[in-house]
Amino acid sequence: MSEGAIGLLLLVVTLAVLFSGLPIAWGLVLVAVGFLAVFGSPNALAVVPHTVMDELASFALLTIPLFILLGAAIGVSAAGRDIYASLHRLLARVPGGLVIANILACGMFAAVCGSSPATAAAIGKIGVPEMIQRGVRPALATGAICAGGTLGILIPPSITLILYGLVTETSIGRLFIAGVLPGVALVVLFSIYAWLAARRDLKARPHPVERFTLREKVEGLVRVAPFLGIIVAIGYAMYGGLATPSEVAALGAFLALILVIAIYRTWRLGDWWAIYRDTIRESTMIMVIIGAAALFSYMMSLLYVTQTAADALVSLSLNRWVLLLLINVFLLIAGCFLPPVAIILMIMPILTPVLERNGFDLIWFGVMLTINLEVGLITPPVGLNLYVLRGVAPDIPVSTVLKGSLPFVGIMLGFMVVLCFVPGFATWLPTALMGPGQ
Amino acid sequence: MRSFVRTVDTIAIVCAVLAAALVTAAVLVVTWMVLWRALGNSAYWEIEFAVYATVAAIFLGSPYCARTNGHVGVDLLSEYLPPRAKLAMAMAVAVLSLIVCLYLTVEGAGLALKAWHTGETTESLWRPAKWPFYATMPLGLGLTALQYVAELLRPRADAEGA
Repeated sequence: MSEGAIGLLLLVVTLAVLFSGLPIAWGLVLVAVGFLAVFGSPNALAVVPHTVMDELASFALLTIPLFILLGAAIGVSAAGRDIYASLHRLLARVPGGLVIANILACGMFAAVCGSSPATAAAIGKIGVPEMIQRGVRPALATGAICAGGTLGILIPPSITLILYGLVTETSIGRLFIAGVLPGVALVVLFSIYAWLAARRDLKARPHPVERFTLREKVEGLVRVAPFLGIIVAIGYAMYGGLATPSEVAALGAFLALILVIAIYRTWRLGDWWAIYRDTIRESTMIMVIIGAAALFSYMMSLLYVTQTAADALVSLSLNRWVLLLLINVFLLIAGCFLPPVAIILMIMPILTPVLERNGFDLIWFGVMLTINLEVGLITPPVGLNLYVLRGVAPDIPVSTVLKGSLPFVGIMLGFMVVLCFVPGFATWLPTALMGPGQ
Repeated sequence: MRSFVRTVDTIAIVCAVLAAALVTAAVLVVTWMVLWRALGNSAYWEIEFAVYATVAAIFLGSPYCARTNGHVGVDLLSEYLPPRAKLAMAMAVAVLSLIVCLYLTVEGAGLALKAWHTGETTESLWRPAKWPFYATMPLGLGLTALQYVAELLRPRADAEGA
């Protein structure tokens, strides 16, 4: 069988196995071992356990569980409630202020947490009931949280960008800074939309404006300030080259655990179990997929599938923008079914050389890819954030959540087009702070 | 059968608690290393220890992850199946998961045993033995395989409570 034919067979088999509902990690191992056994040399299977363990024995990978721990500690504490309460009070007099407060709160929470569902859950469990109670349309309320939650993986720290950095061998620090401006831009665009939508609703049904004292407005933010301090310190240490991402993640997790005790008096055993239960579950899920994906990409490159697929893409010699469009459409479709972790690990080894040969900046593409995969998080059938919303607001039908998220999806797709024409949105800040190239 | 399932569930929780302790140890050791180095000393065992501890935590966390449906999959098609076919599909997925975990357990155990016999160590200054590191994979995935056996045997009324 030629490499191309093996590649096509691999695509079909992988899709069939993944769609069976088998956990992605086990599915990747099954396909990798199966193909090595059938098409590989007789001793190709001898290195299977080694490949997995060597991949995992990496100090750089420590960033993933440690940033998850940091986010889980802050997520279980009342920090989300504080951020939310203050922003809500500050914006009480703005039309649609409540919805904007939710979007800003998601943005701020994203800055201390690297996961989208965690961001949507932390803000959504307080924000959605509050918005509904005060007369915001359910579609707008849930759509805002669904979309706001996706900022978790764009605004640093971000588990998605860490993985992208590891797979494409680009600087995680650079990727993090590259996500900042697009993240802020999306917060602003989401807020403008919420303002416009809420103004239209208010004309139909005005509701009373509440007043708060200055103390009420800022007390929550004062309590949250030390956590944001951690993030600024993380940024400084990482971009200043004082510490590696893993060291920074450990320090951040350590400080977050201390602060959660000092500020929020988190002593209950139940709270600690919740922090660690979430950390272990999510870390294990991601890391086992990483180990399995190492085996999968070993198999693909041993059977020359990676090289053949990359060469085939290059030999099409498409216009680079047509190529980019095709890649993005493909990623959008993949993102509707697979979590970002799996997509990055399986597809980036093929795409990286293709993107490089077409002169695309890998840092810029990382941001583009993240926004693209964010769309997958809020669209059916496997939108993780949709499930989170179903958890926090069980009486609102998924179709309403979807209708509410569609305008936000539109904004994200529009922003991706802008990012193509103005790549500086992503690349200017890292170059300004860390110097050109790497 | 019920007591077997309950025992396996308890083991999963105990392993998750151990995993939590290991992750915390990694956090503390790396934090200590950064401070220690900032004082002008050099670090030699900390990074390797943190990596060992974290990888052990990942594999020890795997049974709990399996118990709570944390290993994500695309369970899209089964949503549209009639209840009986859905159940059959779930059983098939559990059996396949069991087979993959058993395969990795056997392979991992071979790797750990070989490292034990040859006395293989890492190439760092600290030179810890490699077999305990390799052994975390067969240990964690062996228990994950056991968890899938428990899922297959679990009385159906309990299965929803996960």
